[in-house]
Amino acid sequence: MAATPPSCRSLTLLLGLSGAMLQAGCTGETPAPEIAEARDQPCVEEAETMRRDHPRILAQEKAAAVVDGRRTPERGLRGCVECHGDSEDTPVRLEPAEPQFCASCHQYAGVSNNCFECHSSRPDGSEVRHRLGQHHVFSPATQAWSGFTDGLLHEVLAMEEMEQ
Amino acid sequence: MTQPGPDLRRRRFLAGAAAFCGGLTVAPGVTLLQAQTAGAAQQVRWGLLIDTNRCDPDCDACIQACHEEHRITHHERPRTDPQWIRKVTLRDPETGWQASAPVMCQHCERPPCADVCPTGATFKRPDGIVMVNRHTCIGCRYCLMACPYGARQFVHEKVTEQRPDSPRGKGTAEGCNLCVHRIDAGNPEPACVEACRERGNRAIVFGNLNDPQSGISRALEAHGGTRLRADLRLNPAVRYQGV
Repeated sequence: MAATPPSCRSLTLLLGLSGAMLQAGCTGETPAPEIAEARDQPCVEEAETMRRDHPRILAQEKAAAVVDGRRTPERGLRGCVECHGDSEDTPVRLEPAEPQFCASCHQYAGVSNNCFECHSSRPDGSEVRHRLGQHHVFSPATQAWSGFTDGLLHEVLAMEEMEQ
Repeated sequence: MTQPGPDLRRRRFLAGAAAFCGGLTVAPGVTLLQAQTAGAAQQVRWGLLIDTNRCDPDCDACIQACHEEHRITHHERPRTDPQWIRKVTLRDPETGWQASAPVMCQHCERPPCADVCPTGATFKRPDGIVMVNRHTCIGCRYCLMACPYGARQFVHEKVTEQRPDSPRGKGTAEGCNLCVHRIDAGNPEPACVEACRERGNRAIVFGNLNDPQSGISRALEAHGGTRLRADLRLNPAVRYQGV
């Protein structure tokens, strides 16, 4: 077996040192995000489905609305803003100090997209308020979807419990 | 030597199978959650007919209404402030004849802006409206250079207080979209047309060019209409009378 070249050895030492330094710097626990309450319950889908799949639901609505003109605003970003967006009388909550529905969790998870650079973060009125409890309307597809996501969600929840 | 042609039967079967499955499953683990409502209709082509004889040279109601509808704010920098409609004055130097007309995105049948777009962000909807998908736009501004009407605009500055119906953001191209949010909501009258009508000028008519019974088609049949830069053969959906 060939001996390890000196450059490799020094690299290994450097990596080990930096790893130890990183660990030393990360002893504190990251506080859980403070998430603003929704103004209306329930959501268009079950909370578990929304937690995991809201990016896909929004992407689907985005493609349908922008490209094909098929708009279902209560399922799109406007629908989100109606219940979770800034209220009419408060200024736009883009300061990270205040709990926000989207940004608090996105910051916690290290997600950097900001829809509200272009989209309005304030509710506009009552015209696009979603129909409450809409999730059981599309039951066959939703059932299949929930079945797929529930397994993953339970795994994540179990992992979170173990961490705590 | 002849190449064997594609197996069209197989393609048709695949397309049919895709259409059959599209309502439920797109890919493993990706399911369409809802029945889709009708979108932009293919048999429709929205257009504008602008009568320059009715257009008051001193009136800018259409521009104001457009800027209010889409919350287009200005920073007193005319070179970079976006403007979806411009009032253009045409003058014949020989006779001194003048006409004023609003010029916006002409919603070409063969839009050069969509041709040059490197990401496919600029596209033509099935109902003929040329739009920018700002999610895909990278802000290269090729479309601004390609448009022979100078109708494409670029958002140079940070935008705040957008209308929920009209999202806009810095670093993307934009232009008149015939108030697509109104059309999709079942109220097909753009803000400029409404403002012109309320002002009493009625210089702009909006309608479906493909419907021979629509007001715009009957007006075009009776009095004709000019396409700006018809020599480019882009077949714009905005037509002008009296130029």
